[in-house]
Amino acid sequence: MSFLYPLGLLGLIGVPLLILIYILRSKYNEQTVPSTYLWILSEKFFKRRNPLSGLTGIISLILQILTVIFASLAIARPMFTVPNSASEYCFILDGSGSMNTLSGGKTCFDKGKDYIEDTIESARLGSTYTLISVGGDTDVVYERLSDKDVAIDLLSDIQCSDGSCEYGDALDAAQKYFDENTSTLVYFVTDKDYESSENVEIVNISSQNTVNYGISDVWGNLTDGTLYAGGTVTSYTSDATLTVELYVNGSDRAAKKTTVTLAAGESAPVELTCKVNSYDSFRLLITDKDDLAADNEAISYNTSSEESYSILIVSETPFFLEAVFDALTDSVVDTVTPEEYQGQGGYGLYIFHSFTPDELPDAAVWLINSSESVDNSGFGVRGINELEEPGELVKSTSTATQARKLLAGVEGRDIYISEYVKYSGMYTQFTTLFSYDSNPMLLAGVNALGNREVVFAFDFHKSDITLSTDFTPLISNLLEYSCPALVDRSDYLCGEEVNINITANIDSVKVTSPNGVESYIDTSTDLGVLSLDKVGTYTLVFTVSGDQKTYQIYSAAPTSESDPAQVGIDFSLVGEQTYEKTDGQYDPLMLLFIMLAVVFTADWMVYCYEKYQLR
Amino acid sequence: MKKVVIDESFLSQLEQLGTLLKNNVAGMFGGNRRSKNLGSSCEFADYRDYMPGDDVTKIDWNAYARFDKLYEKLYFDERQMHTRIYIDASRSMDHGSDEKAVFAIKLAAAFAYLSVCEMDKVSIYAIRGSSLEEIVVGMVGKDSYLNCINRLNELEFDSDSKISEAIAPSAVGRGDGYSIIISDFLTDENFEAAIDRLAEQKRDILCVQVLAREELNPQLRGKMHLFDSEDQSKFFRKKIDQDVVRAYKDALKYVTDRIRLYCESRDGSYLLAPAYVDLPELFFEKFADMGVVK
Repeated sequence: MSFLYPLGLLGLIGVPLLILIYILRSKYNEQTVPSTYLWILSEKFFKRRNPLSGLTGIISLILQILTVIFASLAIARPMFTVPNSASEYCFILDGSGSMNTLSGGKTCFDKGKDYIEDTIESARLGSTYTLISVGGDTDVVYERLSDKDVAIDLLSDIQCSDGSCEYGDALDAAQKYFDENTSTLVYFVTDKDYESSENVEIVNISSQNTVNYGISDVWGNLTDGTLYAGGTVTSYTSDATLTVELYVNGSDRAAKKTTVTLAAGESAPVELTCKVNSYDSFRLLITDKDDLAADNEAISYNTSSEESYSILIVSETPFFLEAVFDALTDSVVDTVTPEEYQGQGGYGLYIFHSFTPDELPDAAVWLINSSESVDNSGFGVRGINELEEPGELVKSTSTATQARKLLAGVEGRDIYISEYVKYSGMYTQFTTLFSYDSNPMLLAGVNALGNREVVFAFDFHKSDITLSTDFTPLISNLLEYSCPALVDRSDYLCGEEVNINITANIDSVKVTSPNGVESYIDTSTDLGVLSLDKVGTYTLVFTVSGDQKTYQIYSAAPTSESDPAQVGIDFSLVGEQTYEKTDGQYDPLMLLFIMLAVVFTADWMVYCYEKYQLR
Repeated sequence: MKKVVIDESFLSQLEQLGTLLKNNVAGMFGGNRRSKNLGSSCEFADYRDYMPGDDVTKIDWNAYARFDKLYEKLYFDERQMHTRIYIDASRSMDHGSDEKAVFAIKLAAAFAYLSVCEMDKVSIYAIRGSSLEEIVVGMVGKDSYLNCINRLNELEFDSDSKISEAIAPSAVGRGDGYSIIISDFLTDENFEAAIDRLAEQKRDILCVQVLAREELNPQLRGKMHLFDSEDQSKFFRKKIDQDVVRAYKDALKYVTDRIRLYCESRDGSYLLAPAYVDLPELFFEKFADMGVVK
């Protein structure tokens, strides 16, 4: 036996104190009565009928001592060791979007938490609890925690995501705990059934009568003053006739509505039209109530009004560049010769081909075959190397997000150069995309002015890159990098990541999530990332050179979470389950409280009996 | 300590009590004031032959005319009774709650009133130690009652009481009415001698034992050291619990039974009067049942 709070035993000092008080208080009370005649005479009639009645005073003392003892023990919290009674529990809680489905007035997620809480409450003291939450990410909330209260408190803080989940990480984490102790009882609390599950108890807390409808794949376009909006409507579990309404520009009144009749599990496309001159957004809504509301609406924001960049090419031979830009962008492209370049301003992107300006403009810049050093460029020129035989460029194998994005669609094979400029300096600020003989040949990064900069260390005319199939996608990627749209698009699925292009003049990016939580994107890098974990509209406020630009993107419910009848294939742990238990503990606190109440009541009754002779 | 018990309100209560008694019962103390002897009252009793020396005024001349023989008319003798009331003036009657002392005074006053209403003579004594203290002696008539009864207010309960030693040697009268002893009888002193003496003198005896509520149903509990109010050398030291209280009640019953049986054996009457009952209730129910009043 051990005590959680041994200092509580100091209360036992009350026992000798009680005895002392009892001794001091047990003096005879003196009183004068009219006559002692009858009292003295009563001695002759006195007979003890109940031998215990002489102990009534002692009984009171004994009860009071027991009260003090029980109270002290209750404070000290004794714990008894019960051999082989405790277990190790590992709970995996499914936090995917489908767990938001209502079931019996509660969401499946809340029911799952209740199940885990009940299991923890009923587990023997001394058991340990590990909780793995699978939401947008797999998160080990706590591992081998033995405090029930803390475990339940932390459990109550977990929120369900709206997106889909990958259970692989959770399975790996559970496998780790199972490997360490094959007696671990692993529970997967989810709303899905699994065809097989070894060493894992699948706790399906979903309801059999779930009803769900959903709309997905929403599209829209404006043609000749008519908005065409549509999507795919699905009734997952029951036959239904659904009403779909179209709302435009945030209006509360439906501009159009239609009905569609579906059999259980059937999908059908819907299309609604509406006469408008322009639109900022439209919303498609299934008005019929079901158990999962997240997938009943979808919003589309119109991003066609985003700004475009103007480009200035400074080159004697701009043929390749003009050709590729003509194919890739609608932006305004001006071309001047080096002699004509006088530091013209107002362009979003400057391309200097085989020419080095005296100073870099305060905008995005491409330096192609720049043979002279220029301030703030981030590098210096060490000389020109002419190769005896053409050398093949080597594509970067970096897995960094920036490198992967800039080399998207680029195979990078069979690109040769015959001459290059050797640079030195601050390569750490740049991402090398191609190299030759360990020398950077194509770099992208942010220069000392804070502007995006792309550096080609070779001349297009002394390379076959322009003949490569990689040229167009590469220039497209670089163009997108240098002239970024702040946000790529406005329609996402919950769980996806939004790439936010951070240009030099962006001071801050504030994000307001659908549930009203505000946060800021890190603007210290040139590519910010926003993870979408809620269904609904995210509002992004860019502060650009003191001005604010607001973008809205919609995070839709993934269709993978909409079908309540999904059945997983396998959720198993490798190994052989054993059933060994560890020593648990028994907390007699409740028993002590009951004993305390009984003894206290008995003492009170004895007191009343003696005081008022209640018999 | 003086008890202002006899005041105007009390006297009006007595008046009311007297009226009610007249309306509801026949009279006081058995109601028979006629002596067994023949006397000179107006109430005819019998005839006897005239003997020389008899009062010639009582010869029935009508009978002489009819029977030609002298007959002497005999009349009942009518005598005035003398009610003697003895009040125990010991400290035990007045300790703590004074309900016993007050009750005893009221009771004595009530008996005295009812007696004077019957034109009897009333004497009231306080028993102090071994002697009697005269409070009222030979009181006759309501006027005298009203003049004298206030003296009961002066009665102090500050001594011990030896009932037999006080009453037995005194002049208790003979065959002329009630002797009423009002006491708590909580003493081991001899009281039987007093009753014997009164019985010898053919007195009608009435013992009223006045006890307080606490004495009838003691509430004391726990370890107690009890001292006697009349004698501090007497004490009772015990833890009082239900068993002790039960023994106390047995002792109380023993004492009351002993007094009652002794009184009854001497043709006397006994009543245990709780000090908290109302006087009318006592007279109408208890004394009427006992035949003290009828």
